[in-house]
Amino acid sequence: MRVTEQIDALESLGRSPITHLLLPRIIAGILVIPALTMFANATGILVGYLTAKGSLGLTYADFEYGARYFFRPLDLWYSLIKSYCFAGAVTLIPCYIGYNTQQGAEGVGRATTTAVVSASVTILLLDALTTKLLLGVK
Amino acid sequence: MIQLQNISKRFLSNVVLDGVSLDVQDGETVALLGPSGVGKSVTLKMINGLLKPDSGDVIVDGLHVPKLKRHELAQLRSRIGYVFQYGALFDSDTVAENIRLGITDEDQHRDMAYCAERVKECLRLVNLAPDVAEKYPAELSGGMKKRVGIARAIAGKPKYLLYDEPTSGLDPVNADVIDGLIERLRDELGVTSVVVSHDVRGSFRVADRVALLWQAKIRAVGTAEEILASRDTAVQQFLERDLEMSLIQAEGNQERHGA
Repeated sequence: MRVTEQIDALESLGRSPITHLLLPRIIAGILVIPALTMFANATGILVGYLTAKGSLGLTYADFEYGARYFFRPLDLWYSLIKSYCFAGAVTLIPCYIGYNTQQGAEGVGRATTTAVVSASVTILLLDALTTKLLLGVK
Repeated sequence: MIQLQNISKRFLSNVVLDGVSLDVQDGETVALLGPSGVGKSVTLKMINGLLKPDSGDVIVDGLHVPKLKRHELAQLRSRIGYVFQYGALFDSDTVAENIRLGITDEDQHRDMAYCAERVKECLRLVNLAPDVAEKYPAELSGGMKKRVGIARAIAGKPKYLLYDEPTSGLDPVNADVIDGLIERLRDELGVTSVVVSHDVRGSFRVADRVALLWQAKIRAVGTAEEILASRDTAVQQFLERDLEMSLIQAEGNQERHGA
């Protein structure tokens, strides 16, 4: 959008590219990624039950008992907090790099690579940090 | 009135503009001519504050553009329509939504009935059918995209219109249509316009005055007749090069039609 002048177009119309382009993407990411994580958690539990029933012949009551027995609310909070951190990383970093892209098509390619690498490395660092802070793993 | 006063700009070691001065009177259309990469678009972007000069001043409507604060610049920009080289339309929005973005008055922008009327009016002004409003940019030809870009630029009823290569990438027939449109908008809306182009014939047609940008400086300013009569070697060289390009294009067209 920087290279094809849409960002310049918004600025020249007196509109803020941040509120028109960046903010919707960041808000969408921060809302949807944690929701997807919760959906993935629920799917994991459901698939766990189906696998236990299919391969081990476990009843629903047995599965529920085991799930409740091992359940810690911290696990749920942990995945939710992590998903918010990751959502921030995968929206803010590429938006910032994309917004400041320069030098035509070559710049877009370079910005895409930089965005993917930076977001991936940040996710790894955040993963280590949140694990250390929330679970106290050394 | 637009005044460029001794502006200079460089990107790294590349000096793009070096002491460029130019005045554009109210109601006047000035074409900024020059070969590719000479700083024509940079000059245009300085007029509405998308770029700042390294030195010199840009004055629009009595306001010193490089010194304006963000909200002051936004207010000034609402009086300046900018037509981008490739349209700069938003692919995910319909033509109507793209044009509505150009309505810079917030009260009018929120009034959907006003916006629908204004979109229709702008499409009429650029010779596009009303049903184009519901199409997406990907469904339009290059010439139509340019016209939608112009429609968006005039939607906010600007006092100034800046055209960045409005006919580049178009075939001669469509380029003529766009040139005719620029003339019509000048006559119907009475806007002050700056047209950046490397098309000599089109510039002479639409502009009251022409300025030739050559090697980072304004080499000549005047009416089409004055430019054509100029004995400046750079002016003659540029005009000859354009003539050669026209002949090559004409030969190409003849060969295509003959084949």
